[in-house]
Amino acid sequence: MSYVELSYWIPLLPALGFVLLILFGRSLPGRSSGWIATAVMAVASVLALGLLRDVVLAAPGWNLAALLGGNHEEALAKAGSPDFPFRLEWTWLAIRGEAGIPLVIYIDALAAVVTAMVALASLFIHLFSIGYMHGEERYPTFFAYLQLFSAAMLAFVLAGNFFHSLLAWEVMGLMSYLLIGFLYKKKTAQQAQKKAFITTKLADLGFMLGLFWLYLLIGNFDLADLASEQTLAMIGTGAAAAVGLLVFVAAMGKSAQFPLHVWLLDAMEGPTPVSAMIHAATMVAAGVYLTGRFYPLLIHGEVLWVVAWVGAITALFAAVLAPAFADVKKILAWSTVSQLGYMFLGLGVFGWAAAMFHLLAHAFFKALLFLGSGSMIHGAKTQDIFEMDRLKKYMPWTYWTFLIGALALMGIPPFAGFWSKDLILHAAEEHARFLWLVGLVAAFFTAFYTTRMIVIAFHKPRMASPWKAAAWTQGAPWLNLGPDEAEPDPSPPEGHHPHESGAEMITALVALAVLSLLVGFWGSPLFGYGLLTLLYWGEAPELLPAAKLMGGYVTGTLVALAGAGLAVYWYAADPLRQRAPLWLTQALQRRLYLDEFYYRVLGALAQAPTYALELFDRYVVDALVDLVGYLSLVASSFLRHLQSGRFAVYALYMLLGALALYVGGVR
Amino acid sequence: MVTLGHFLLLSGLLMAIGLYGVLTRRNLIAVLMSVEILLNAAALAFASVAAFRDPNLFAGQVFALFIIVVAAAELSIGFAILLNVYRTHGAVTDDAIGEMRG
Repeated sequence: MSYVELSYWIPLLPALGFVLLILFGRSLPGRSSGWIATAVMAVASVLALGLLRDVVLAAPGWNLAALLGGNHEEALAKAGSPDFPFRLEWTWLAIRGEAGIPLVIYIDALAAVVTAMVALASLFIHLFSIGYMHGEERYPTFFAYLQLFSAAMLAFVLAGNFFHSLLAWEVMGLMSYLLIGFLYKKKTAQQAQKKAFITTKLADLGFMLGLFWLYLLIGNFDLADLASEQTLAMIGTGAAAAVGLLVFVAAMGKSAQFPLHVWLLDAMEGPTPVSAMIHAATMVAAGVYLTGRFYPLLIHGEVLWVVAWVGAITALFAAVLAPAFADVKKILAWSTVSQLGYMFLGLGVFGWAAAMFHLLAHAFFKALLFLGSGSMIHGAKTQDIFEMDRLKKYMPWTYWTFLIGALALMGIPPFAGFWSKDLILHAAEEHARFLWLVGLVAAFFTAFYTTRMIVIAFHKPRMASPWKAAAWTQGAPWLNLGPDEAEPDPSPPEGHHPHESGAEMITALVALAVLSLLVGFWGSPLFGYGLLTLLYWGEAPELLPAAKLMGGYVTGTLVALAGAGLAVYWYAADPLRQRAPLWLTQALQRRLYLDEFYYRVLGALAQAPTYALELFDRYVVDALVDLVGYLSLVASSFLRHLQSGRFAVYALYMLLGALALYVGGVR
Repeated sequence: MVTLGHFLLLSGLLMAIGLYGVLTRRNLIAVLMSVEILLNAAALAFASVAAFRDPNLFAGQVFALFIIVVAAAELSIGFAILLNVYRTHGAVTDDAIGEMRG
């Protein structure tokens, strides 16, 4: 039995794990619910890796040099298996022989690779959570949620039918809501979960409208069908652009692209493994993946430039804001937004394979960074990098693994982000020179804020955080919370010494560090761009990187080193000195007032029609209701006299009624 | 010669008297007494019609017996209610218990 035939178990297993834990988790002793969930993910990971092996064996092989030379016929080094891409199909919603909406699992190289990534990253996040969430209230529920979250993402990736993609997509939206607000007693967490849900939900409208429109155009939801030439020929350019952009709006919401990125930073209110889950393995990757799946439509509609611009703006915007933050998770959150921007930039400049490569590499190193930050928070009892006391000394394992993730994020060779990010920049250089410059500037800032975080958190002794007090007096206006309602995170007690985390947590960190290195090498020229040629679907060679990459690699490295160097120069000597003008720092910390703008202006705009509707309700609907009441009052003012309260009168009515019946009966 | 007509005439007269009493008396005890007269009018009609039609059948007489039993039960409940009405309202006239007037 091949792994392909077993593939439906990959999402099904964690879904069953969810059912088990949500029903019986509370009666399981101690940490066993965490171990059960981890074991389930381990089995799913084995299945996913087996599936990946099957796909690698079945996929066609390409000779890269011939491909790039434009010689398409000779480039096929190894013919693919005839039944590749694999397809499993079940009848679903079929009514009286109608086709209905078939349940399809579609496994091409991208689906297999992303499935393996999601399963593995999720596995190590589960493993990490066993230790991290220990002693937390609702421990089994947390793992139940993680299970369903993983199941939804795996189902989303494997779905061969956009209708099911939408279902899985919505389940993910729900799970992110539940997990962000897992610490439901915190006011900020409550607000954050609502913000995330409403923002992504609003964007999801685009997915639904786009899908329904697509169905009107081609009459099915099939994923593979969308990529075929005949189908695209049925769709006009304008319609393709509209559908593509509608779906892209949903992807922007899910993947936190400017201007819909606002929910992601507040999503840090969830426990740290949740952040790793949302920001690496599942939620945000879904938007990029979906855009990658709608790629033929976006090209057909000639709207890729929108994707590119949104991505580039996001990449720069988030990278510029990150240095103004002191909360390690918030810095990482901005870096997620920024890196997702890179992915969309890559998609927008025909770097499809590069963007997907970056998606995979980022998933691993960002999961690593978030879990590393979880370990730091666990050991140092604070999220503020200034309050962390020489963590390098106290937490060596965390330090070295975090460093691998950070170097990958910065794009320093030979770590994962270097290979993938430079491919994206390379594609941008060829197709949109200005956006290439934007990407380079963002790369500079990325290296800068990452190094700043490492220097201050790991190498410097504990300091009084300069920005904590300021944030405290302001409350959290971006969450519509006043100073009394937004509690600052507590500082660690005096004399507290950080300590290294437990074995499960360290194992997860090391495993993710190794995985991120491996994925990076797989897509690097050292191994002949193996991952990229695997993902290549045989349509357009320009989706692959050209060979003349060396210059790009050198530029990327130099830019990253410059950013890192500046950070070391500034923060190694005097971390507390205010470098930027204070008003600028404040503006950056308040996220350029965009979130507050949404609350104040867009909120008011959204409320304006509700005021009108309220007036309508009060003076029209209510008036009608009152009129009915008034009419019955008038009628009763006559009829009430029949109700005399004297039973003798009632008896008379009875008598008259009986007589009337008698007379009527006789006649 | 006493015929069925005489009996039914008497029954009708009792019926009219009872009805008049129910409709006009204010005192609820008097009303209950009038109801008794109504019931007896009906019982008389049943019994006399049965006796004149077929002396071997006792269906009408059985009805009269039932009516007597029901009347006894009805009176005991009725007086129990009136006793409570007297306790709460201080009187047993129908204008004393006119709370349901519209």
